[in-house]
Amino acid sequence: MKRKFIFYSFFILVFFLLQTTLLHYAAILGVIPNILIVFVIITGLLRGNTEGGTVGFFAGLVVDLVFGSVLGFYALLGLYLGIAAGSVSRRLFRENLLVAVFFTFVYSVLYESMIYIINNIMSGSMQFWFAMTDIILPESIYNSIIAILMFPLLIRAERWFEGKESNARKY
Amino acid sequence: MLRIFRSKWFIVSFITIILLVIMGVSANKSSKLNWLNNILSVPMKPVQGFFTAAGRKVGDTFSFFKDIEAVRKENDQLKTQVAGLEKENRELSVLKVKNEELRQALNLKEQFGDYTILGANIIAVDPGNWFNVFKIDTGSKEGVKTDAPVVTSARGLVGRVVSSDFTTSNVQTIIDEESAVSGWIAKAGGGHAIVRGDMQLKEKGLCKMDYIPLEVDVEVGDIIETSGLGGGIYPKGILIGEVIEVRKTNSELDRYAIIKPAADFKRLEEVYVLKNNQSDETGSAGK
Repeated sequence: MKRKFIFYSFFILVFFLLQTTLLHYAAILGVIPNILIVFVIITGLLRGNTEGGTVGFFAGLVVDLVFGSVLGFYALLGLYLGIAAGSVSRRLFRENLLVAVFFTFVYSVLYESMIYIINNIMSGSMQFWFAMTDIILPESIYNSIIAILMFPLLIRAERWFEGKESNARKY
Repeated sequence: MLRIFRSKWFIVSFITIILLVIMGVSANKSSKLNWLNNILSVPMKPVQGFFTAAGRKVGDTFSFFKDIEAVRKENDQLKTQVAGLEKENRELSVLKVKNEELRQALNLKEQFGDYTILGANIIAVDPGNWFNVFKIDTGSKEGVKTDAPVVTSARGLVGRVVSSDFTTSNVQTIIDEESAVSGWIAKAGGGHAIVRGDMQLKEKGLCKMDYIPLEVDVEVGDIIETSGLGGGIYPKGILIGEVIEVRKTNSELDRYAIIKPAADFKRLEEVYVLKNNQSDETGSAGK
């Protein structure tokens, strides 16, 4: 439990710092990936909706605390994202890279569309199609590519955990 | 009954309601809840500063190697000579830019007498692709307040402070979609118009000007300054940018202009916050 807490806090903070600083040098066609949500989605897929939701909540809370204009907005979206990702994990083969990449794409599209819709619901902006083709879809593709890299890393971390946990049970 | 409280859906709906309440409370900028932002912003400041500086270093190194690669196609002697000259040249041009910047910073001081100018470095950028907000390394400790105007060394308008923590502040740029600045078309027979960010233009670092008065004949090359209207956030006469295109849609009423801001948002590293000396007394008394 304690190990997990440290592990998740570490990853959330590192991904957040990368996201807000270095990742802006990795923009393709003006779009940067969102590695924080990739992390939340993969955690949800691998560990189920409780852990996915918790990690999503705290990842969102960090964004809220450092950048958000309203406290709790990204925390709530992150919570839902983690739960949504965690809820498909039991039905599909968990440690399948293609499944992870597919769901990273789908959930990225849904998550970013939600953000767009919530932020523009009042202004009545009619640029949804542009947002979709020029921001949401490229970002989601980019996220899926990041998922290919991040997925094996997190699987290894998960194995490491389970090894430690079963060791702990022995004694 | 107890099982209801234990169920996941109950917990999730409970957290949702709590968060909605927190959102409602923290939407009010003067709310005490926003103090919580310090918990992370303060300790993260040095780390973010380090990462951003490191990123710039790496970027510089990459471009340096690219330069050398291009030169390698020439003969060996020339290559070394060019590399040497280039390095020298770059150092000199950095000095030249610095020199220019410092000079303009001095001018700036004369133009905005009511304001104290605070230099600040950009240490982090908003995650995600929707907003154009960045974080600078000065905060309420140095006296930065919400709505303080932010400019470049060359007197171009960057944006305004949207929130400030103890040691850092968030700056919303004028190309952000949620930004709207009252502009003045600076020429004979000029008028007021609204300069706002636009989703399609912000990738290119441009913004849009609409509500252009009918009688004003906007042309390419016109200079746009802040008008000083609109809640008095921006003092009058800060350079916003230049008109690079006028687009007419169905009717004259619908026309809008595309503005190239004086600030180059792709290359921004240092900015200057204008801290109002007068509002220190009146502002706090007003609240």
